[in-house]
Amino acid sequence: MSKVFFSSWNGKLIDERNKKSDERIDLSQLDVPPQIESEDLKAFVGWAGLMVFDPEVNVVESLKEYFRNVQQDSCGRCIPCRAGSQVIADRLEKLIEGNGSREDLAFLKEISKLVKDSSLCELGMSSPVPLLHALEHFEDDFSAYLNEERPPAGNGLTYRPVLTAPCRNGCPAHINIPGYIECIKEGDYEGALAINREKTPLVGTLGRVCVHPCESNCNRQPYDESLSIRLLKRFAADFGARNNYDQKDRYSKPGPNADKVAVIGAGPAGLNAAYQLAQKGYKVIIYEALPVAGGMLAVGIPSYRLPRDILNTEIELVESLGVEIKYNTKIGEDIPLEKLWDEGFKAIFIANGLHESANMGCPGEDAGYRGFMPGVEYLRKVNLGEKVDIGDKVAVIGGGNVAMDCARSAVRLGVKEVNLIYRRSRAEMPANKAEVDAAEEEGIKFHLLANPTSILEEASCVSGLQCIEMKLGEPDESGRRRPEPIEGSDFVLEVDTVIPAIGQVADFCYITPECGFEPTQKGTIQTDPATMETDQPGVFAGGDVVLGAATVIEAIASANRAAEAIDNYIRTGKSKPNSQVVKEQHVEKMGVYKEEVVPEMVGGRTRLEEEACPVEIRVKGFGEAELGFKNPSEVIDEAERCIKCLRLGLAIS
Amino acid sequence: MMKTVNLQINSKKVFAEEGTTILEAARQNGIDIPTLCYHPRLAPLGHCRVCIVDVQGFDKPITSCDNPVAEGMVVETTTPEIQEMRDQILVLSLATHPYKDCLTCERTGTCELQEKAYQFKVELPEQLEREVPAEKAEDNPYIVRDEEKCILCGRCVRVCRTGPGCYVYELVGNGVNTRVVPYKDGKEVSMEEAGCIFCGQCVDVCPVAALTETGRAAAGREWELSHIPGVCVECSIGCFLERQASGDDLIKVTVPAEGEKVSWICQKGKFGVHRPEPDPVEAPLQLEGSDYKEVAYDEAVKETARTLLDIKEKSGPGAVAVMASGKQSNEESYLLQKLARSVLGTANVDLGVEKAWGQAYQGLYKIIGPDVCGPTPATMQECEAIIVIGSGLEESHPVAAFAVQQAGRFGDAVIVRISDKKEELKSAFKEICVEYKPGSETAVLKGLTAAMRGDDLSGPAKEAGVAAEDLQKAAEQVAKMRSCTVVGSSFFENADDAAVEALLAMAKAGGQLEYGRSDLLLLSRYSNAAGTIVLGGSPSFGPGFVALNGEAGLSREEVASAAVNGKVKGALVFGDGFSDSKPGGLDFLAISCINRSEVPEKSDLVFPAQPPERKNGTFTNSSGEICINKAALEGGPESPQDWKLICDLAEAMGEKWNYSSLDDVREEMQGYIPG
Repeated sequence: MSKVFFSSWNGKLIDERNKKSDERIDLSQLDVPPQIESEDLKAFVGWAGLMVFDPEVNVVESLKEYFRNVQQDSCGRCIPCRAGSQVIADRLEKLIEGNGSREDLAFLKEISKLVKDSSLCELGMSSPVPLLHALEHFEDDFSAYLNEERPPAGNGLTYRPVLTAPCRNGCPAHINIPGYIECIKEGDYEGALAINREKTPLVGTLGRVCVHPCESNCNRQPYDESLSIRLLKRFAADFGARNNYDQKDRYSKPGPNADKVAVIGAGPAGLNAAYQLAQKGYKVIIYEALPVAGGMLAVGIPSYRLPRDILNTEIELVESLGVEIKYNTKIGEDIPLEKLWDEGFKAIFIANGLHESANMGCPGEDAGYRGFMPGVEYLRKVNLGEKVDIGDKVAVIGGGNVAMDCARSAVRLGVKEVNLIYRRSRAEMPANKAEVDAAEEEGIKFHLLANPTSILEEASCVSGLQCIEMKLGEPDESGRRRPEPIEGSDFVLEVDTVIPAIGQVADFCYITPECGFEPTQKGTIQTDPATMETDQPGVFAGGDVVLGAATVIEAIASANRAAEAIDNYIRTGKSKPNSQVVKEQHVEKMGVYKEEVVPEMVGGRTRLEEEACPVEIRVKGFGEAELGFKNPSEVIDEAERCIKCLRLGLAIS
Repeated sequence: MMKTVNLQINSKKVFAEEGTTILEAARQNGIDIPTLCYHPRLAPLGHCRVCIVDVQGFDKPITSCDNPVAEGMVVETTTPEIQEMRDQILVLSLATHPYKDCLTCERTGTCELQEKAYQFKVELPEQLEREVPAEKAEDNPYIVRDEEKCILCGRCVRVCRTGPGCYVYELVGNGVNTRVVPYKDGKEVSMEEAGCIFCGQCVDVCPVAALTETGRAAAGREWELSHIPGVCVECSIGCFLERQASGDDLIKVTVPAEGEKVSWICQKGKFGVHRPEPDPVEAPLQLEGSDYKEVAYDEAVKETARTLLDIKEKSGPGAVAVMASGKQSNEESYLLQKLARSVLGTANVDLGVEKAWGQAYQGLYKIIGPDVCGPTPATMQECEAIIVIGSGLEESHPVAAFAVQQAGRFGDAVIVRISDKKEELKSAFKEICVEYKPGSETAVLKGLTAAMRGDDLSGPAKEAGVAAEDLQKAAEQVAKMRSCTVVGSSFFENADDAAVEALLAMAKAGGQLEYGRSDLLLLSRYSNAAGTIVLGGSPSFGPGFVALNGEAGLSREEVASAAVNGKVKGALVFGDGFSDSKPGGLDFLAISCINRSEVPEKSDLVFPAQPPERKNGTFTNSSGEICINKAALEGGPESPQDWKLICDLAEAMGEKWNYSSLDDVREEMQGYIPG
């Protein structure tokens, strides 16, 4: 059924019941995916109303199922939701069994209003909405249970409940954000840490470097400002680190005869997959080409953004689960990919990232001039503590976080003049605003709307960078306005070092004609988005090598999906995606955050911001630049701003 | 200056300080809003939803307990719709509570749920099935949990975390099957396994009978209980408390919910009444051979007086010693030292003051002057830095440990721990640990002082076995902030004159001491040390805190060795802790004890002593607060009050003291209390 029979979703009433089925509007017009796990979606009961696609669906039964699920997810703290949802479910069941009365219908309306208007969080406030809509628009269906023509019970439907929240939905890994913020509210920092660790060991890392899509989905934005979710996470991690809260006893580890899984690359995706697989009982061996683990966390992001002790403690947590990391071992060069099957691995997870710099397409870049250092290689050297051949006047090209990392590292290495060249304007820079602001504070000179045209040399050493000014024209496929050179606006920047940081590409040395899969045109590995399996059964991939240059949290999310699928594959021979993942992806497409909805509350506050190390001090070395939250009382106040927008959906197929 | 907010509640124009909740503002103006989960000692929970009110401009009612007032707000606390909602919420709560048990429930009469039901007059609903244990949980000797009665207000979970800082309880399960259980590492465990230290605060805040004290059941109706204010004498923090008695039985001890006496308590204060096997001395006893025989009070008094005077005659007043446990009241201390000094003529008076502690207290007093109170657990929450010196605070003065923990975990204080033992980091967010070589207290304190003054600290740091940078870091934390220092009693066990001097110098350098203000808390292992020392209960100071210098008497340790040598032949002791058996060489020991188990073997005469619940008196805690303890139970005719016993002994020794009541004693005492 891909036609809409009835919808009250998001305040828009679409009642097609009197129309003929081919006259009804299409599902696709509501942004609702028509299928879930290959089954046709027949109805959806959720926080913003009721949607029915198949006229045969029993609305009353669906609502009873919905409220049984509300009970399952009700946290129990407030009386209306905790007891009210049970009373509603019981009363609906009584009606369905044929023991209901007209008073029950009036009662259901009254108690729905009570739960909606007096509950503590949005689960209670939103769950009665579809029932109230049903009582209003499907009265006959309810009345049918009051006389002898009761519809038959049970209708062979599958109910898939999914509990989400705008922030949680916006997080690629779907971390239980309202859950851990509630723990912080109640002073249970260890509990907050444990909730994060359900999804990843890299909690302190994310608390520092995550791009926090959750915050862009925070429901408080229309009212005042989003919560400082990333920094709350960091606080929980830091608190745990200071109090040695490694929670190692909570983890299950593989036994001596465990099945083996090979992971290629000890970056965030590889580490996370290993973390999840080890807990599921697998012996994981990670093959890492570099002498250190962490991938871009260790050789990309500088230590002033992510202190190495934080990262290393989190890597140690992974290793404590029996995960073995073999350093300086490059699959494809040292060991062919196919040989891994001979070693007895039951599955392979490829997560070798994008560790080569993309070309600028600028004359002179391949000539091997002294002073020309591709950004990825430059950062790797800096982060591994190797000597870098850097001059006094540096030009970094690019506008993303990598470019900021390159520029800010150069300042810390003592370079006197650091220039940043970016072809669009500041508003289009993909880097975190905080990074851009900090870079400017540290004295980096921005040359916006400029692009290099060639690299000038003298005796094979970089002597300057020829650039041209740009203007913004029509948008390109990414939605950003395409930069166009302004005729005759050439200029030369006198620099002795050029560091391009405009993109990253993969090293596919392990791909052979026999391996069963090929890189895509974009230079990535193609996988099924839900299972992360490549075209070759048993070979999975995740992280940047699949997603393109993406974020740590996306890498972690992809690794978690892969771990589920790998586990299924090894046990059953089929790589089925985890149904929780499927449900989350489903509501993601439906959209959970709606910025037009302004929550009703008293007393707006601006969000709590972290302290930064003063500029004069931080540019002198690689000590941590941003200091996180300082005071527990302020942290609890910030956590109390969370209005706990839990939303329950029920997909019926 | 806090901003004032003007608003309207129920057509009444009121104002409140910015940040006040609607509920508080209403109550400040005599308007009562019903609540269920709210408790004045805890931050608002917002769980029950009973306190909802109508605010103009809002589509839905909002909770008044956790929402602040706003300028121009118009609030209606009760409309027919609001009351209807409150009724329905109460009905839902009653549906998950076995209200049929009201007939025999311990809380009937003070149960907050019952009170709401009475006020709202709702129709009682059918019970909703809940998956909770039907049996009460009695896995420990102090607290009984009855989950069927729990209304999930969340107060116990919160008070456990924010008071003693234990994380015993967690909410597990969902919907109506949500339960509050002791939880650890992902599973339900016993209270003790979950880390409970049995401070009993969860019981004190429970609105219903989900949590009760062991032995509470069938021990008297709530309305039969008298509520007598008092103070705990188990340690020198001296927490305020309330004893509730029924006739001649002490039923329970609680912490008052609100008012100026809001405070904390630990297991010793809350459950101390359940001494492991109360075995009271019921009548005066005399040693005969190897057994004790009951003897008449008058006879015992005469015998004691005669024997002690005899010893004084034959061997001099220096052969007599008078000691006490440190738990006696100020009045008793005063009278006892008066008996010792002016009647028996001895200076061997040690009623419970460590030498080093006494020196520190005197030094402190010289700087801050009279009538100045030091830090309390409550005021410690406002400090930006807390220095903790010594170890073992959790055992010796648990409430001080709670306060430090709370300030570091929920408040913004930096905790600087200076100890000679390696102690596990204790869950503060900002904590610095300085571990010094045992025996080098003076050096580490000198080092810290030098660091705070900007002087060279390498010498003291080396001597103390501490890295200079660590002391620098610690000093930095203290220097620019409002700080206080808590000195555990373990410090005073080994401290010498130099250490005490260094301690005071450090506190001064840290800006904690000046005339009229003290941010230094000196904890003694004797509960009433601060009262005793001022009234002449230590060998070094006479009444009025007058230094005795050349005429100081023997301390209890010195008495113990002097007894072995035969130099001290007779002793009068009030309270426990003197020794396990009469020291060899001591000819005569008369002792007053509460329990038989406390009596040293071979004591010659034993008098029955009053436990604090039977005693009237004042006590002075380490913060300098003078607290009144009122007897909650009457003493029997066989056990006159301890202070009376001292007067009777004086009379038997030939001195008639004319104190008709404690007020007379206090009047005389006043002359010796400085300030």
